[in-house]
Amino acid sequence: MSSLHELQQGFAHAMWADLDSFLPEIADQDRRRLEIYRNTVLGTLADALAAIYPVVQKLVGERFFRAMAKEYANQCPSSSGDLHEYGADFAEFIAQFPPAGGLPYLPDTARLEWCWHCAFHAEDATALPLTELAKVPPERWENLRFQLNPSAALLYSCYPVQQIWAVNQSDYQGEAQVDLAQGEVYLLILRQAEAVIVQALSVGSYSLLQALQAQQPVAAACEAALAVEPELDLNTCLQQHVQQLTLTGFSL
Amino acid sequence: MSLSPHLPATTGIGLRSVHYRALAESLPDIGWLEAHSENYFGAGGAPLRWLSQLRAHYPLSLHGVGLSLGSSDELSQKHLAKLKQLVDRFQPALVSEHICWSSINQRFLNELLPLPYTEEALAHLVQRVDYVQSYLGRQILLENVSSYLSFAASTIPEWEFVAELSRRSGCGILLDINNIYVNAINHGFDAETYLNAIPREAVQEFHLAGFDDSHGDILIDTHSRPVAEPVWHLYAKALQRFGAVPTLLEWDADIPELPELIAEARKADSIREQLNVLAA
Repeated sequence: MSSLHELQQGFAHAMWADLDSFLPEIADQDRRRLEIYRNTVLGTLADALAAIYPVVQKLVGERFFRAMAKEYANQCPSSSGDLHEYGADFAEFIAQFPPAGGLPYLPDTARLEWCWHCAFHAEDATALPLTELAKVPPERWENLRFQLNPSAALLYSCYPVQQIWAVNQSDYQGEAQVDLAQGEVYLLILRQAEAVIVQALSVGSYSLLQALQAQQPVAAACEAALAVEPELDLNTCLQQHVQQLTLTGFSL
Repeated sequence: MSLSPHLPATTGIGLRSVHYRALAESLPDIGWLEAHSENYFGAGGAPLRWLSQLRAHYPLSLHGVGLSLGSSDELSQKHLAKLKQLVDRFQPALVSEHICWSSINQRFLNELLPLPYTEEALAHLVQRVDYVQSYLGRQILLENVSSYLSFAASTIPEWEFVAELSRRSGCGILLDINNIYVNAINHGFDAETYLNAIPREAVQEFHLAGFDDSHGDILIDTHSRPVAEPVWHLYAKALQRFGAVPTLLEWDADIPELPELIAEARKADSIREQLNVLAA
């Protein structure tokens, strides 16, 4: 093992675990110098999380968020030099973080923000090629498989997280109280051009998109939707999702 | 508008998302833009669209902060592939990274950490720079970082390490004037000795930024303030030694409105004009 490797390993150990273990390796053995690095490392990671999870930060306050970010950095290592990839499992972490237990809707709020972040950076999409679709003979329609927009994500929560998210946006005006008893939501997160939207769906539309996303043929997806919402108007629903670019491709 | 393959020997500014709209609407008279490569590693959406819109009006430099060149880990092929894709798409005049490491055992600290200045680290870095230059099919620039500690294991002065890296690998040098000053204070060396050790022909870009001096005798390179007076002074010395080199004004935290940022960049232009130095 090279001494460069050992030095880097020792430095990282000092950052994450035992600062003093590395003191003999630095020129004037001044502990403050290592503390500065620990603070900047943790600070950079916390800033990256705060940029992706502004609503979570607003809900718990900056001090609590910083403490949570520190614990997250210790438990869930950053695995990329691109900080936009950091924080993918923050929601799962929050769900297991006892001090956040008093806010049961916090993990789903974090999931919504992660979906928003991914949608913001997702590949650009173009509208579904309708003229190509029109050429598909009717007897093959039931085997059609649709592709969802690369930015599209589906999120179910038993809490009104869309409302929680909306009232915590900086440009929100209106009633800031959210009634947790409003109950469950089925959400679609989608980027249209450059704007990310968070849309509430009916349970049937949600099941339809979920089945299509799982690459089920359209007939099976429709069946799944009608099973949970018998009165769903499938035609209108499919048209809406073609028009608003939820569905952007198809294959046979 | 011509998209020169070279940066003009004037002052550019760091491209930050808070300024996208103001830049695109006012197209101010600034020399060039420098973007952090990793901010454009996404597959699509607004960041890439803004970059491409602004690229049509300004020469561009791509500056990486996450490659972890000096780490003893393998280089990330995914990171390199994204960088190459970006370089191929935007055809920047310069591509740069840092003389640092930021990960070990696949765990990232996401910080520009100093290397021990040893023969071993130098040989390692030379080999990595070779690899990246041939991967990208072009020269890259390496930047000297600010640091708050030095390693007992170091055997080579930082300035010799930087100079030797360039000589052996053929990389260009992005000389951060603020970082030289910060390190001169933090480690107690003479900043002009540093400048004078750097080969003239290797320096293709300067960086300027502001530091935080609220931590006693250790300066922190926060990019959150105007450029400090002694750094302007050192910048003038650098201009005299290296000639008029494209200069970047960086501001990454507590970022001011665009006009204030541009005013700070103009100070660099006026120092260069007063000295009447010629392009390098």
